[in-house]
Amino acid sequence: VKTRTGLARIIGFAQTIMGGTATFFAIFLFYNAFNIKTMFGFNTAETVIYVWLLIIFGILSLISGLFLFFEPQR
Amino acid sequence: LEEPHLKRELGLARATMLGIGGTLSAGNFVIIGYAASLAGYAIVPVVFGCGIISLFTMLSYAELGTAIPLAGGEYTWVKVAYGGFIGFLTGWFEWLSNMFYAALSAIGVAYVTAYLIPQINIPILAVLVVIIFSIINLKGIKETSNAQTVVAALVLGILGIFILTGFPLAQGGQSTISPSLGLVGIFAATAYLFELYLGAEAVAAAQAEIKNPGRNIPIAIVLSAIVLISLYTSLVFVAVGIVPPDILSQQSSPIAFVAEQILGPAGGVLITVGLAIAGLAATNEAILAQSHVLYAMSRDGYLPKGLCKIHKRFCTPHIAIIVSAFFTVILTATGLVNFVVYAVNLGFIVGFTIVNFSLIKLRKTAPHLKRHFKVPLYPLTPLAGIVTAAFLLIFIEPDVLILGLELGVIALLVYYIRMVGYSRIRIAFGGISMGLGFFTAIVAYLLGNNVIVLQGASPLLKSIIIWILILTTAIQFAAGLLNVTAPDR
Repeated sequence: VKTRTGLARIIGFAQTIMGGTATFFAIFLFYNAFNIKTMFGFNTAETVIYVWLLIIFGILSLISGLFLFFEPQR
Repeated sequence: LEEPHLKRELGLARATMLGIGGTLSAGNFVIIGYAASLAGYAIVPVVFGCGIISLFTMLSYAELGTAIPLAGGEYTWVKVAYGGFIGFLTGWFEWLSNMFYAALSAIGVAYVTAYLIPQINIPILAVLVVIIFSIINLKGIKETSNAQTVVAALVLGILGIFILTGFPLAQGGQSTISPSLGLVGIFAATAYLFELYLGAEAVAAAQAEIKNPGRNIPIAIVLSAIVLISLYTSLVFVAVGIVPPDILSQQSSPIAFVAEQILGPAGGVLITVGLAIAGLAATNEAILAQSHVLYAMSRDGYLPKGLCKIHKRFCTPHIAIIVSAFFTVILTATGLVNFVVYAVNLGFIVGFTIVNFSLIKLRKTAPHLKRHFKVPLYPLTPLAGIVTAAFLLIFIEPDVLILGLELGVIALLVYYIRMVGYSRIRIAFGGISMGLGFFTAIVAYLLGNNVIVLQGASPLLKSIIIWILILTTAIQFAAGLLNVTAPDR
């Protein structure tokens, strides 16, 4: 049980960070912060799709990660 | 909080004043300026049209209010008609609409006050109004319909003076109805001013306090609608008859500005004081209403139980009030009048549409329900309410529509988390995580085989991205497995 709880905490933390990073990356991409859009050579139409994908990916990962991180102990 | 224990002491006159008083918010008199910029002199028929559109649904409120005499208004009726998610959604949007309405009323108070004291900071004053009335509600106030009747009568009196003295002076301009933005401007102004008549449904919500509800509720609703349509139409007729729409739209408090042209500086002060009092009363009502909705939804198990906790000393739903106040303060701090107006309209358009559908459904599924009042010209009247409200949706600002969609998705999520159960949600998210893992694995594969090309990326950056995607895949799969095999709470 302890191993599972520890693993759930680690994976949950990693997934939450990943979700948060993806969401922030979407915001940076939208505003072309740090010239990200230029760096990857995305045009406007591509950017919109990537921003949506990243936001959906990020939010779902975040929720799933938080479920794992705050998993109640048996 | 439970209305069935209240005494039936409101007669027809006071019930009518309740409907009138519910709509007299300071925000209504601020937004007339922007609407005039959209519709030009056609604002007069626009205001009249908004009243008629609102009346379609008010008749449904009258029928349902007498047929289902239970506390909770539209939330309860929809729960009876549809139950489940639709009932939850109605309560959710009712809460949000009242929150937006509280914010709009507070911002309205700040705007009309700024007309007299231009130095004040509008968002700060509006936030202060919300905080003060939230604290007052926390400590508990008696819902004195007497006070509301007095406030409504006072504001009606002041507006009556404004209209009667301004009517002979109103001339020119309005004879040529030429909207500045054409037909689109007229419809946009209608969608914008839709909230002008909101609040009249308070009569149906207070059914437990009204004497002889079967007779008085429908008459009070129709009477208050007639008074309000006459009042607002005459008001804008006088306003654009004295001050052209383009100048009116530039004023922070358009009606106070017109009053100053008619009655001198004293007129401006009189209107400002009247509107500020009305705005404060409306803010208080909206804060009270939204905390009641949160309380009822929590009591029914739709929201966390903590929200229906009652304070031991003050006997008020303190957690619900604090949560409501928190979101209202954030919204009020933006000071964005137009955004808040459209948000109020969106919430009520959704609510009105569901109420009309509920009426149609209950006529079919519960034909033997005792109805003291029946909507005339059924089913044309509720259908007209649905069609006109849905049509106005087209003219709501896209930003607000997106916000509405997001709030609907959040509602769906909250509902399923509460209703479906923790372990099933965990299993669902386990599946989602594995799906995301599968997706990132495919992206990594396509990127590695140059099917997806990142034009501006160097080979080093590309290989870093591929490794990040592989790591992401592993984490997502592991998370998926852990969620699927999660212990039941």
